[in-house]
Amino acid sequence: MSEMKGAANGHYGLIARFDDGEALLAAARRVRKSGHRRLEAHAPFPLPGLAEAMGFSEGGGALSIARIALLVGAIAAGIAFLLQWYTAVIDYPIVVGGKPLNSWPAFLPITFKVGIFNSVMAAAITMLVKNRLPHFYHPVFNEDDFAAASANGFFLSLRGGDGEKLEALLRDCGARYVRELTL
Amino acid sequence: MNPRALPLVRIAALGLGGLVAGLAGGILAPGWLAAALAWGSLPLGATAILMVHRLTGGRWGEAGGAQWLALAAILPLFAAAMLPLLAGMHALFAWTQPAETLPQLVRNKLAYLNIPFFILRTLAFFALWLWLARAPGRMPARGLLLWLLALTFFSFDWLMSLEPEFYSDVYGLMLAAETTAAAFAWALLLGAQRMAPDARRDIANLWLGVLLGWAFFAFSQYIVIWSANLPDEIGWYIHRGQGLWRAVSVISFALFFLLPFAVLLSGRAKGSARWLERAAASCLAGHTLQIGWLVLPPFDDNGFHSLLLLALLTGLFGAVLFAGRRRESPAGTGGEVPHG
Repeated sequence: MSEMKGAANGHYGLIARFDDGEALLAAARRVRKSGHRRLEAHAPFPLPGLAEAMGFSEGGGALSIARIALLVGAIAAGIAFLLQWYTAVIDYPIVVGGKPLNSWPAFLPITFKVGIFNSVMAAAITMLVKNRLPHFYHPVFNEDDFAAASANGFFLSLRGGDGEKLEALLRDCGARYVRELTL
Repeated sequence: MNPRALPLVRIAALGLGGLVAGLAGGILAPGWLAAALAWGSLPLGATAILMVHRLTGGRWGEAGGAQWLALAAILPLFAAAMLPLLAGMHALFAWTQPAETLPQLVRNKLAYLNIPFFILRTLAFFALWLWLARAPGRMPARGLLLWLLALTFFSFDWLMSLEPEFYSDVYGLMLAAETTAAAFAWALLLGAQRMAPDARRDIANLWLGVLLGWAFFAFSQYIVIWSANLPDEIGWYIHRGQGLWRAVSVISFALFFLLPFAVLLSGRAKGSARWLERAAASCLAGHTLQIGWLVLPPFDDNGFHSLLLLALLTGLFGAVLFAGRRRESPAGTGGEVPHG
């Protein structure tokens, strides 16, 4: 299907495969330096320094994932504590084991769990939203060898740009091969 | 520092001090015990950290290794300060009184809590720790298991049996987490400026993990005993809610855990040597108070004199440990920090 569409206007960009992470890092730096900004790196494991080489920044200003997680966690923990306090002290006061109605130490495990659960959920959902995931289609999957990106392949995919100039640059960076990506 | 290079003078001074404190009794013996434990936690924790690094590897261990090796090397001084207290056991341990005067609950424990067995165990614990601390990489996996077992029973003997009615399973784990957290804090306090930023962040993260472990152990002991509210156990917390001890409960928790935790929550503060030093200083001050809070309440209901004595003796220990040590850098003179 994609090839048929590709016949009309099928060019997405280029994909280059590298032999190791060092080469991928160096290539990402050089491509960015050449002025081309629309690139993605794909590696089987987190490469230290890759995010910086790609010029990645999380964005969102004050609303980073960490801050959202902390905020949501703190609010949820507060609500969990208040709910327990309200039920035990105001709504249905029962003296248990001679303890005071406001037995705050007994409220803490629930407070902690609700707080942690919500902060983890907030972090995971924010991460997905910021990554624009789930994402059901991407042209890199038209590259037959791309599955190696989760085994031993290091790929750099470029969108648009001057195809011939970029291809020469990628080959110069030591790419094992450079192929065209179709939509 | 090589253990053999430690001047015998210091060992003799601490040994003599321990003997005097043990024989004098009163609040002097528990005060000495608390000060010795506050300092002794550092080499104990450092030994465990070195063994863990031997098993896992990682750049964090190289960055903090010098500090922890130096700490492990002062373990003989801890032994020198503790062992003479065996001469003053009657001043410290209520279970050494004649059996017929003891409550039935304590009498049931005398098969374990008796003087010959106690001395034997103490000697065994210190023999093991001294052996491990001399070369922490010798047998890290078995060493860690033995270290934890020894620390658990050591805490039952030297801390928990000060109030012989009390019993808590998690006490040893709590102390293990505390000693390790204190040793991490020490390495950051003295070494943060000189560590590579990545390794320092790793150490800070490990430290945060150990602190959270401590909070978990301490809280699980509290919630179980507080919920059950049984007379033998709850007395331990009631002692610690009287006089100044109530304030110490809150302050030591805030200094040892809450403040460092708040600092370590922030990624930026975790990357800053300055903030890590502040958090570490707070943790060590809280650690000293926390040890005092564990040891001293049964001997002093109000706590004012004990706390004064603890501050004095902790400072004295620091002076003995750092006597003759050259000033390498402003951060290298931390002898006064743990009780500040």
